Amino acid sequence: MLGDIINGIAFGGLLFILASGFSLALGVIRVINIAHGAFYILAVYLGITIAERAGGFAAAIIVDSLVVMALAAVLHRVLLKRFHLAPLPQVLSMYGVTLIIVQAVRLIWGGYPEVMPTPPGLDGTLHILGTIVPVYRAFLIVVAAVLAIALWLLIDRTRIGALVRASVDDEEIARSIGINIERLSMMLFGFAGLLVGLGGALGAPLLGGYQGAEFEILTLTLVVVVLGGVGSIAGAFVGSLFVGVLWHLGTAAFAQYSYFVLFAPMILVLSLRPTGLLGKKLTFGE
Amino acid sequence: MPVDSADPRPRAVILDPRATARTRVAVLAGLAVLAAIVPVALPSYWLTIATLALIYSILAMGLNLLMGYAGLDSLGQAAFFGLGSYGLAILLVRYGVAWWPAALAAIALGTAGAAVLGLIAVRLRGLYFLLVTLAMGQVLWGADYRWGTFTGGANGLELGGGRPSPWFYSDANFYYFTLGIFAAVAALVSLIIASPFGLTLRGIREREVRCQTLGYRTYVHKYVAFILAGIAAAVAGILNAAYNGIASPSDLSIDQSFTAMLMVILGGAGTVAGPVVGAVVMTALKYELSTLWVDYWPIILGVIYVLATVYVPNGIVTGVAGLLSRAGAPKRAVEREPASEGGPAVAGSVASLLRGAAASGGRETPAPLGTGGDLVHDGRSRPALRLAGVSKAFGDLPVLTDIDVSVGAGQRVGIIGLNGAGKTTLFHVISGLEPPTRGRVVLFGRDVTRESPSGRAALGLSRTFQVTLLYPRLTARENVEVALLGSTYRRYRLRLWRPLRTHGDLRARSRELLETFGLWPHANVEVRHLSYGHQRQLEIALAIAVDPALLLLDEPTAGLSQAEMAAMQRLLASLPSRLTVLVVEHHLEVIFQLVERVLVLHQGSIIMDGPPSAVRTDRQVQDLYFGALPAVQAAGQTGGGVQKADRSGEWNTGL
Repeated sequence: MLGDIINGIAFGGLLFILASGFSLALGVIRVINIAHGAFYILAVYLGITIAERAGGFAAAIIVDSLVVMALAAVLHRVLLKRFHLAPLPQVLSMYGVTLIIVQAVRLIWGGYPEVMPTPPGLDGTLHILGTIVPVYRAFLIVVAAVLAIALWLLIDRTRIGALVRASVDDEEIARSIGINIERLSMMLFGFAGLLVGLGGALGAPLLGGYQGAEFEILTLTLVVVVLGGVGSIAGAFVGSLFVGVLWHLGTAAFAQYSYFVLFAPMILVLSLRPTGLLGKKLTFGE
Repeated sequence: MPVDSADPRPRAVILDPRATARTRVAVLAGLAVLAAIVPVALPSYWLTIATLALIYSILAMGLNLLMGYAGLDSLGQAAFFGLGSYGLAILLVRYGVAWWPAALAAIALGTAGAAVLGLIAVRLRGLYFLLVTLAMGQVLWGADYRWGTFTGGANGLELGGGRPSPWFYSDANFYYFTLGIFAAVAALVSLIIASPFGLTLRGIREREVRCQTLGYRTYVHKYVAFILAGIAAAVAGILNAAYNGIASPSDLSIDQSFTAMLMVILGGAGTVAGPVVGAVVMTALKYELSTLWVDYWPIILGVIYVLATVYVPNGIVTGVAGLLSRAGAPKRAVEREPASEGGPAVAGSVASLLRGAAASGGRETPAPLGTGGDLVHDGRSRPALRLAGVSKAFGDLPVLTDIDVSVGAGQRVGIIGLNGAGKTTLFHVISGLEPPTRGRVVLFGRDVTRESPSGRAALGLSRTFQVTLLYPRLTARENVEVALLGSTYRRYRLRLWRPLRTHGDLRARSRELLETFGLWPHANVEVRHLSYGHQRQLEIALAIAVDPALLLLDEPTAGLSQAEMAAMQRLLASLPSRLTVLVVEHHLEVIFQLVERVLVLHQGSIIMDGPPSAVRTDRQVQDLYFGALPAVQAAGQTGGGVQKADRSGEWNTGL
């Protein structure tokens, strides 16, 4: 049982790494990144190839992060910029992008389920409180915790974070004092992409890529964000751990009903607090 | 709002109603003949496409009701499509229920699903609504995918035939069956769109807040639309499962939701034909191209999504209609109704309205209206409005502090004060848009502190907005009719089955209102094309249309030209005497003529309360406000004021 919970937390850590990028894009520049799952599977398959042929796990992490970051920035420049604060065309066009990416990945890598071999050095097991925990899972938990703190510091405590928050709160003022909103948004969406790329590389040994992974990851991320609250890193963290543990326990105990296990708390939270546990009301120019 | 340019919602196109009616009948007859001969005239391959196009049309028409009319962009339609298809499959296969009862039960299941999820979803708007409907659909998909023993999991659930009777096994027969259901759904949807309910949905899409202050509990309307869309999706899902002989996870997938949405957008959201055109185009493309280039079809489809969003944001139907109306003469459609007696009315005699009100069951006949100032009050003892210790703070910033005021029925009260004095916030607190931090709001003797804006409107409160808050893409007449449906004619507003234009009493009343306000010549012009002065007048027409007992006017003359000001002043002077009026104004000459009592608001407190003459001469008030701008004071004293030449002399800006 304890082992299951720790494994669930590790899965939650991975979910957080992935969801943080999604949540950031949603909370700061009001973009629902429908292509989130597509970014993930691109990073998984690309990461596996890099790890195998060119430089190992570390190289996979770097290449994935940079490639998905560049892809996200380009997509923002070409598409999302046109649909500033207009959710409907954002999701429609990004769904088109999802179809393109997913099919391209399928054509390039063949569409078979693949998991990255656990990177050397992270492949042992640990004994914690009398249970056996794979080192890689403990590693994921640590990375997620460090990332959570780093993101919180970056957004709440740094100049660039303040700049981004201020620009979002009052775009007109920001524009009038010479802040380039488009560029800032593009950078932010690129950064969100970087986090998803990172999550893809880190998730490759744990979850890997498989048919439908793009939408399973998107769904889990949606539940995390809806539960935790839109636009809150702390909410994404709490939501991720919650969903991670619930999902893991649910899948372990009764795989068939694992989605119902997600559905019930989601409906409950939404009916009591439509903005999620730690969410705040966002404004959309109206 | 920067969103407008990118929002792929349609711009309604104005066409001559009679000409379009004739054309429509001809086009419909032609299409019916075409649809009827499909099985005979085309190869069976096209029969498949036609059948599926009809099924998807049903799904898309339902979604269009939600997206195009109520303005709710749902990404969860797959949930109800899937509830229909799986409902049918599971009842047939697992429980051995006969086809027709199973189909009815599956519709009930889809309806129930929409009723449950809708309770949560319609509380949300915009991005949240998208997010939550998407999550709901996806979680159902996942549940189905993983629950293999019951739903068949990834393989889906084969129906083992799955059609109602042997007659339906002929694909031509099944096509006619689908066509019949399609025609029924299309007729119902068209009826709903033309009904009073359809108009209220569009009103909510355009300005939900305004609808609330006009007396609408908007979530009821949105909820009904959500359920209707869910039913349409379930019906489509059932037909799809019966036609294909299988309920598959793709029925519930995100792809299904997006397909429906693309069909609506590509065809034209908010048009009757749009979803059908979108469904036909996309189904045909899919079956032509996906067999031709199996591997590249998803990429092509992805490109279609992107291109459609970028280049056809308003849809094919809207685009074609726009081209047609540009090609034809620039006919602005003013309905050809017999002219009313006396020619076009000039704005300014709201008294005539009250005749209308009496005729259509209104409350009183008015005394002729005069100079606003010293009206005789009747003995109604209950104050129309009482504020007891009302305070409002935004965070740490106090905006209103301990406001105690009582306004008798029939009183005319002006509220003046510098910018930021809290005047508009006071109106928001009275009308329920902002809850007070402390204190009580009592309307007509009833404590409404916790009442919603629509609840207060139902008690007879009406207001205008400082920033014009109309329904920009509805015509002037439709604007007024939304207001009428919120109040006097509220009994019609959930009528889904009778076209609005057959409600003669409502139509007559909206016409009368527009004539009174001098807006009849612009009755069929979309409000966003009206001049600013006309928009301000319409703003007041809406507030009057609900036949209020207490009217809040928030800067009725703000930003008007001299001529428009004069018209507005005549209009205000003619407000029926039984009406209690609170008016916020910066033009002192306007307010002093109109009211018998003035409240001076300063830094959130009332510092002066008295007749205009007293306020005008009060030392404190003069020091505070008039010292800087003697010209305005003079204008106020001479009582003329309209001639004031320098608009920059608006006193608030000068201080």
